[in-house]
Amino acid sequence: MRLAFIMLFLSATLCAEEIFVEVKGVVCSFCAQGISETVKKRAEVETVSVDIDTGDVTIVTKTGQTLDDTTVEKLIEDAGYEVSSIRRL
Amino acid sequence: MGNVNRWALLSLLLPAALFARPVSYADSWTLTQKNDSFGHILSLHYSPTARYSLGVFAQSKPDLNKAWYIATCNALLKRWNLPSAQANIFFLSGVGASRNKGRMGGAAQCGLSLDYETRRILIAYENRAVYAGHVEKSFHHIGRVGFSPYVAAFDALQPWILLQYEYKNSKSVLTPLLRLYRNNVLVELGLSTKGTLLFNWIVTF
Repeated sequence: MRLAFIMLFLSATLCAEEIFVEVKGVVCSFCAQGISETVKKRAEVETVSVDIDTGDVTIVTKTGQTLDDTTVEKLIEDAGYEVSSIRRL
Repeated sequence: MGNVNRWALLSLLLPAALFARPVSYADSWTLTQKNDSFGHILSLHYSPTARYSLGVFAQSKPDLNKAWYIATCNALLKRWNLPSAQANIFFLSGVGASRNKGRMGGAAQCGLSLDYETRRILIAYENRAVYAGHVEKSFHHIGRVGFSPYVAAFDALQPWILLQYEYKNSKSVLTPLLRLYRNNVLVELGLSTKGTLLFNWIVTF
């Protein structure tokens, strides 16, 4: 039981987090660049990818780090777009 | 090197503004150049936020002897972010100086830019009122419609087929053009029905 708890704790603190953001208003590669460059400025972020066809943005954080929903929404708004939904893995 | 040659060299090295987005994402730069039958435009603007931009704008007549130089302030008045589309209304403004073969004067311009864009369809309209002393007094309209045959990934080339209509001082020009998007670079190449070449490019960074 104690081992399972430790494993759970370690996985939560030592793993990178994948954040899937559905964004409204993405129509072109300039949009993708704006979102990508804005999100990448955060020190917690390892990689960002934007699917222009669906408007989905995938953010992978550095190990043991995270971005809360409010921060993600603010970053997308700074780029000029709107968040529809946020999912985490 | 004469004034004309200096301007020609500058227009090759630097960038323009009509139909570059007048405001980009926060903390970004946009460099644009436009060349068509109405002349040459160069512009560079910085967007502190996604709501407004500050920059410099220069436009010359086709013969390069007459030009005006503007410090610009553009604002995003309204944006609609839709699931698969975006629509915008921008306000364009600026003040500066004009030059007519070495003779200097004042200059000012303002206008509106409206667009609706999906991943496959573009509709846009822009107007600009210009007062540039002895060089230019005009109200310029540009309309564009077009489509893209497919949606490309961010790092792949996406082509657009556009039709542009320009009207200024009783002169109208219709130009079919090809737009190519890839990453942060956009290039447009067209040939008007009057035989004049259109060549525009935009880089954001």
